[in-house]
Amino acid sequence: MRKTFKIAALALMVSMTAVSCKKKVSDAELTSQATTTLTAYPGTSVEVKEGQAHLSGVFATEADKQAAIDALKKVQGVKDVHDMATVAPVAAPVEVNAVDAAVLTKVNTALKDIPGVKAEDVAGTLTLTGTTTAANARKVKESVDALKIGKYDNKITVK
Amino acid sequence: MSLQDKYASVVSAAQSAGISDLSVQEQDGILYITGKASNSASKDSVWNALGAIDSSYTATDINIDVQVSGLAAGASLTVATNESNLNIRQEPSTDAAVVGKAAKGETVTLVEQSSDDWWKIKTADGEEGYAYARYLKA
Repeated sequence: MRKTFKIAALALMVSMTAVSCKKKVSDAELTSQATTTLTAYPGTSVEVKEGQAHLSGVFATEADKQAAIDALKKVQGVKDVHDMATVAPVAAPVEVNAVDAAVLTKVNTALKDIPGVKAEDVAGTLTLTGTTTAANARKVKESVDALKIGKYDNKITVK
Repeated sequence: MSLQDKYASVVSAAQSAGISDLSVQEQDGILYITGKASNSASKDSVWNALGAIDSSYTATDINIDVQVSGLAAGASLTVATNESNLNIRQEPSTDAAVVGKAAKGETVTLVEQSSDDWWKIKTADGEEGYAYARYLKA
């Protein structure tokens, strides 16, 4: 009788320890597993509490965020995902100017004091040709870049 | 290798130079670095960083539009021509009449930054008009 009691008490102790241990390890381990699924998304983090994953941080896109949520749901032991993350605002596209007469005038003004360099509109693309020094090539690029005309052809040779 | 990686040193130069309204955007194969510099030295540090990567300054996959702006009227500017005098013109155009000249190294006063490429200035002798901004250091 006494022996049976001892065994029962021991079994109870073992089982309680096991349960509490299992639960503690569980959340921490789940957090670590869940965090691994977020390595591709810098600036984000996740914490698992009682099997509930709390996702936070800033994602680059909505698709990234959705993919992360789906991945978290697949982590065994995660019961649900609480989405507290946000998506970074999309930057307005850079306004690129077309090469027109006004732009060409500005480019030619910029080239006025730089002998040997010529600008031409070749089928809608500004094309720079000639030979000059690196210092002058820099002046040309500073002026042309200020006009933001997108892709242009820079064939300047620096001597 | 992305353009952001290729030109990381230019971006970090812009950040450490304190360029305001700084934006770094990759679009159609070009990395656009746009912002405002409070003086010529800040702008130059960005371009020097490019020179360390592209010593001929002919790369077209990067577009640096960093302009010295926000200068107050009355700011002192130094004439930075190669050798010749700086023409001061009636209108912001090389076709406009020359109303005065400023020597290399001379200090002039800013009246207003009319545009990115033409600034209205005044010399110590009182000559007032537009000069090409490339030749003015703030």
